[in-house]
Amino acid sequence: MTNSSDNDPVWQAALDWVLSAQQQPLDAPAAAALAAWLAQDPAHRKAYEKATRVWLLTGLIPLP
Amino acid sequence: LESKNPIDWSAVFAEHRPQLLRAAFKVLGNMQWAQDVVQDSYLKLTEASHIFELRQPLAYLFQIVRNLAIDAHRRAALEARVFVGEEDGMVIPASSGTPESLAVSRQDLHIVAEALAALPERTRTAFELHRLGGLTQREVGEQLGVSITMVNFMIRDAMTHCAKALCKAGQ
Repeated sequence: MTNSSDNDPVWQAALDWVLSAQQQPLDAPAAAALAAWLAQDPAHRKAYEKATRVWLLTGLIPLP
Repeated sequence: LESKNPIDWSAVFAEHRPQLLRAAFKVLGNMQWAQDVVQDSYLKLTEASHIFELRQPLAYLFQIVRNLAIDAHRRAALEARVFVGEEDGMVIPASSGTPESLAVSRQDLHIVAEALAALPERTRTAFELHRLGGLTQREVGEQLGVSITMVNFMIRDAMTHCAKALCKAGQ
């Protein structure tokens, strides 16, 4: 993946979705907005998949 | 990093299976999915046990189950949203099976662990408190004596750093 640079707005938006969903479960309007954002551009979905993958992987690292 | 005292994971797993199932069910609300997640956790565990020295095996087992269950729940909700017509508003999963879990390889775990270890200490601490310690960003800020904006920045930085490391490794 080439679009995970710090300033890439798509990556930052994907991070927004992933991080905000951890604070509290997405309500119906937010879930609809996420689905719309993902449908907008394949790059959105790709970034989102990447961000959720990183999130999951980091959760599988044992606490020191 | 092979463990010096190999743990009999199948015994730990078998002994705690009912509690693990309950933990997964609490997140997913579906017994079939819970069973899938618990089974999947065992596979992930055997991968992880090759690269990490696991000092608290049982706590780690529950950590895996919880994280996989949350991820499966997220994907099920997303699938329902994407594949079911939005106007009828039903949140019924499109398929009866657990959405196929992401392949998590030993290599991926290794890359991410190394990426986190390479972060500046405060950034890593902030991320671990949030991601693994379950603290909110606000609570992390209070703990470390920094602003919530700074905490958010550090968490994003950690995520981006891990993504880049995976990308670099061709994952």
